[in-house]
Amino acid sequence: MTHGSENHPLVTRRALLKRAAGAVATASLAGLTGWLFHQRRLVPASHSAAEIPSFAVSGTEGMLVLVRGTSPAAMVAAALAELGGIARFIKPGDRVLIKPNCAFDRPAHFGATTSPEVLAEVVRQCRAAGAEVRVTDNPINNAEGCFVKSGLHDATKRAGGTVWLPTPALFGSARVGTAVIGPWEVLLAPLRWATKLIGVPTAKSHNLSRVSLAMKNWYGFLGHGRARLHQVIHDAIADLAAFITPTLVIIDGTRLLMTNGPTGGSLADVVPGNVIAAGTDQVALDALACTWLNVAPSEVGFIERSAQRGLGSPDWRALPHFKEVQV
Amino acid sequence: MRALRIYYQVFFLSLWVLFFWLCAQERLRGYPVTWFLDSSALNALGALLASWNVAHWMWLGFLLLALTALVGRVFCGWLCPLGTVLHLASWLAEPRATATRIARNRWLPLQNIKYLLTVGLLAAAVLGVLQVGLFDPIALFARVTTVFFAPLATDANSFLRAGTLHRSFQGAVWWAVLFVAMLALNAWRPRFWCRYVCPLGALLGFASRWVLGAVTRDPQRCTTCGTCEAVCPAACSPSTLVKTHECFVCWNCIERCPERALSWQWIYARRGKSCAHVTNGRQTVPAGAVLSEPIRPGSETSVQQHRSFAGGYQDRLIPPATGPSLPRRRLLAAALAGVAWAVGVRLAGTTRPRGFPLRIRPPGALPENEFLARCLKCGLCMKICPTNVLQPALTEAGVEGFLTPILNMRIGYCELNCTLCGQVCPSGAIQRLTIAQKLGHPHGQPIKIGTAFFDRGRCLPWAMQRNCVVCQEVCPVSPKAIYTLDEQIVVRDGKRIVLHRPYVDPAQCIGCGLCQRECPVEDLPAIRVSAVGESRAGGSFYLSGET
Repeated sequence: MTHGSENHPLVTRRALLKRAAGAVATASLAGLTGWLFHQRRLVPASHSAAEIPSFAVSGTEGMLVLVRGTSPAAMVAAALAELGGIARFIKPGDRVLIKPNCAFDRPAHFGATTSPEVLAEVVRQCRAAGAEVRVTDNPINNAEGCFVKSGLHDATKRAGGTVWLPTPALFGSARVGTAVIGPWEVLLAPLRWATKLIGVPTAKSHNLSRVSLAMKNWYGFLGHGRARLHQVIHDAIADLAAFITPTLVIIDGTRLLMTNGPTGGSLADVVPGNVIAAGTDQVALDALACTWLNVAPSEVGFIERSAQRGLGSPDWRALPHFKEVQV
Repeated sequence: MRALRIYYQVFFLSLWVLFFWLCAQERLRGYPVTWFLDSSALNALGALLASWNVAHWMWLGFLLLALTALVGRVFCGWLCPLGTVLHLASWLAEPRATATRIARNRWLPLQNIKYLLTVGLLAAAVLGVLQVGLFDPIALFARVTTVFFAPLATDANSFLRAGTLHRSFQGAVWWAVLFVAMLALNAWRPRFWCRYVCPLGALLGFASRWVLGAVTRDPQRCTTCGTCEAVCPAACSPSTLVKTHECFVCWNCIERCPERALSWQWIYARRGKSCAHVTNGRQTVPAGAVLSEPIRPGSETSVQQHRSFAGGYQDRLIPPATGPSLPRRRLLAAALAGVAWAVGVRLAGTTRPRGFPLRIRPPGALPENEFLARCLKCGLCMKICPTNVLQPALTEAGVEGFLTPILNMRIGYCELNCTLCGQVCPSGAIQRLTIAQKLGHPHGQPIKIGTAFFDRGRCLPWAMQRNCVVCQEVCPVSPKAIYTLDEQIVVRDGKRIVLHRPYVDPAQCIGCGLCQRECPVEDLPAIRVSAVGESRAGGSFYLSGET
């Protein structure tokens, strides 16, 4: 038994041990935290740009078919049949991403967006082939409003697909283009999810790029800041076409927005086209669809530049697999 | 020890002055002028929670936290330069009567506010909204020193003679007002700020819960004369059981105690017979005895387990390891308030590029969300900026960006061959760039902080048919971002003249603002920089190439 002295405070051993444990734990936690996180993220990780894979099916290169008729569903079915059937492109279990032109909050009859009937048939065919189907676009106007008012939301749901509205979380940096674009925010999550990609644009005139068809349609994958690409629109579109290789593109010409594109807004701007084109050569498809809008392919900068970069052939008539069908 | 403490305070306040004197273009030679800011555990922890990074010297803050966990809030009593100034003010304002002084130094529940403030600030930081710098004593004192004391010290002479100062800072007067108020409040309660507001002191209070050494009292010697209370700047109740989370370890009570009843002791165990003491702050009796005044929960009452010895020896009273007594519900409410604040300020869209044209950040500033997660609002960048262009944002960067650095081209411009702001940024919100990195030498792009635009309604060659092009002359980049085209025009009397009319090439413009600063249309220049096109936002609005 030791007697305490006046100079020494006394506590029980248990209380002291607890206290020391608390003090040492706090001190070490502080020290360890400072040490562990020191200069850990001084420079934020530079956004590495993802690569967008090619969605093309080998052996289907350079295909093009033109279908005339009045029933959109029958025309799509005939086009796919002429291309060798949907099974040639879509296998059971595929995850198919469909990109219509859903850029504006307008009913379909104004011709600014893809016809619901055409999209529905494409979705239906993919579902019949055993694939999961999602439809997405990053429109100018509010996305939900665009999908609902253009009728594309209902068309997709009825045909068995899902509408995938763009949210900030879906975007990521990807390498799109070398001429002007470079790494850019794109709808990366859907593009990563998909095993197949089908473009279903509508044929319309465009105030700056003359026409908006298969290649211009990929603008809808781009995120923030795409407005600045209008400064160099032809190179930008060619860049997009170089980095986005779809499984298939079907251009909807059932309605043609002849003037006041790409927004339209008056029925006077729209004429019935009664035509669609389907195929795998984006340059040929755009060159062909130009003629519906009374524009010569040689007048369209991005078609010329894509051809120069070897992305396809603007001389669509010369394609070995070109067919024309009437239904 | 009290004398030693005062020497320390004088030393660290002098070091503060020295660091600020060194924080100037002509004197900075790699001196660690950020050490005080780094040592603030609140800055360090806040920035860590917001950005998951401890930048440069900021590990010092965690060192302080560790030190505090062992020996208590010595920082507040010995090191803090703001604390020293407030201590001095309190001392000067001290009343004579002991009874008055005892009354002013009584612990008040109001002192708990600072803990709630800390919890709220740190909760917001977890969400990436770093607002600790608004209340951090070091950041606050750094700001006041930068915008008020330093300009005054440099230019006292010209101010007294002509009423002019060389430097200018927007909103500076309010910092002077605030600081005077902080000084004045010491007359009501000594070290008012430290007791009731300081969130750094509160964080250190949380950390000092289990301190291994503390002020202890020998109740056998104590005559409850109250002298210790009269000299206690921290209102930590040394006459009962010292509140270690409030105690500055200043040694006032120990050295002034006429009975030598108080001493600072390491806490260690001794054998003995167990005996509990109950104290309510006025009296201490063995457990089981009845206090003449009731025990009130959360008041100065506490129970402490002791060992006593044969012979009736009464031990020293050791403060219990309890920390600030705050209901958990109140802490949770404070955290929720911090979260609400974070959500609220983010709703203004501060991390998005739209709507903040005058939010021009210094070269090397991180992308806005990363920047806001690091900036301590300390103003060191503004102190060192040789052209005075860096200013504390008032409304330019939204509520969240209040007091963060922005460039005001009416006051200065960004010097081409200068990266000083990044060199003194303690938290890495502004990166440390070399001149070559800033200019994009030898390969790569220069750092662009904004883009200049002409206002043709005010520009002399465009609006007044006069040649001018000062902007083109001063443009510091090569090739010049401002170029002219010769255009023939008809003037008022019908004569034809040729004018050099200026244009901006956005591909060359880095947004330095020298053109705006030198424009002869002085009050609202005919060429002005806005933040659009800044490198940190990733990519310019302007694309080179065939249109």
